[in-house]
Amino acid sequence: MNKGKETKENPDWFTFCTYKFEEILSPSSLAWMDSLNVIRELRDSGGLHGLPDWQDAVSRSIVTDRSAYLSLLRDVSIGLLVYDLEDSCNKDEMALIHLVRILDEIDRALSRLYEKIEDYYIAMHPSELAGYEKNIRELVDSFAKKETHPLRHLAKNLINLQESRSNIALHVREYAEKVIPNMSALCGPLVAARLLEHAGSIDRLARMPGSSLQVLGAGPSLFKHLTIGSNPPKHGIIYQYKGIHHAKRKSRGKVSRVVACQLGIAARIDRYRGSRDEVFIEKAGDRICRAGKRL
Amino acid sequence: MQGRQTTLIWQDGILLSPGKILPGDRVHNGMRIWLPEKSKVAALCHLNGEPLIRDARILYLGAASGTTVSFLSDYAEVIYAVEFSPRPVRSLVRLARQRSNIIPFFMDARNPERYLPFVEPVDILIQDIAQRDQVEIVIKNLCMLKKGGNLILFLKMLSMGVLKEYEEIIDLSIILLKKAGITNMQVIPLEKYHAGHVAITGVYYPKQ
Repeated sequence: MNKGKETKENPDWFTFCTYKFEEILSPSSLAWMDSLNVIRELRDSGGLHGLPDWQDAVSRSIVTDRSAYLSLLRDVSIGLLVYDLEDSCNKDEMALIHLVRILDEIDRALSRLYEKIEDYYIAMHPSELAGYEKNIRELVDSFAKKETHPLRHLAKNLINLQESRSNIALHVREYAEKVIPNMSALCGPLVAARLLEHAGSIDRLARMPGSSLQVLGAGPSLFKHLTIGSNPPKHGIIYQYKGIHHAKRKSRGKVSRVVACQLGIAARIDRYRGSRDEVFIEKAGDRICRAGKRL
Repeated sequence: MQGRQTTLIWQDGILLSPGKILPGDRVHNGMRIWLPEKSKVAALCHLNGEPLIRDARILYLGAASGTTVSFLSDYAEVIYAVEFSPRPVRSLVRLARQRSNIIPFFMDARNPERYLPFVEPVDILIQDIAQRDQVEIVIKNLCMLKKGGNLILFLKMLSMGVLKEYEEIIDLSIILLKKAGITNMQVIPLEKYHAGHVAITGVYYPKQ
């Protein structure tokens, strides 16, 4: 384990901070950036001496005392960390994950408010036993048009929010087709994006077995199954894929199993190849079709 | 860990911390309160006497946004804080910029060789990572602990498998740790403050 001791010829990290301490304190200086880059490259290739001794840094007069050593180390560490943070983030993937989260949050907000508006309407028209014949969107539209209605302003905002929602959904589709093209082709970009959001990253998605993908998003019922032995969940997020929720109740379990397994393969192609594979998509689609018909 | 010797600041049965007061801190007699509900290290101090954190060199795995680290930094000499989640790392860095004795790493504790070149041998190794392989992770990191140094391991039972009994998980962890050279092990349930958590403390004497 203690690699450092064997490879004494490897340099310590502070070997590369030979500039004057005052200079290094301005993190924008070129000397500073150079030092950081060298340290970073050596760290990534495993070429740095492990478990450094701060007294070495003093005896080589890089720093004057322990507190100077620690504050130099802290500055280097924060500098490296900022680089790593920038590197760790895949912009498209992150955009997709966060857009999906925003989308789902808007959906939740909309449906809650719609529900309250419906309650308001029913309370105002208690004798309409059949309920309002209009659907809720039309109701909100009609509120927005009335000059003095108390919900007029809210209704207008909701219409706007609805517009934002469809706009964001467009972007989500676009990103999903770019980031996870094969999964999007199999189960639709929105469902694929939700799977990605739940898994957290393409890396994790690609390492998941099909059976995990199948119950992704069905956490509570899965743990209930594991602990008290109720029936296992048949589907999590993938239920939103129309091939599953339109399937006959009896064959849903089978269809979602097949869909999940094909999605698992698709996730791996997306992660490690990154481009659309038409042959695979056709084959997988065919399998999913057959799974729905056989019983 | 040496009995109930107190080197930390206690007033009226409340554990205090002498550092700069941060937003969100509760204050008692002008000092920050180190709440056992918020921090597992504080819970350990309340339930089982104090680890020797004053002026110690500490390696903290799973620092998250740095709540516990900020308290430790009030007492300890230096803290090497490792965290692998991008979001909390931001506040950890903000904290490290204010306090000169926190050295943050944005790295996976499963690959200690990535931060090994920057960490010196430490007196205390604290691990608070809720992962299935958390015992394996801490064993990988033992090479940074001095001979005779203290290990504090916080086990989150639910992360180690929903189906296993708590005793089974603890026994298995103790066997693994003993093999890796941890002696004088103590198991302290933190149930009172942190549901489903247990602390395992021990001293590191590597067999060679």
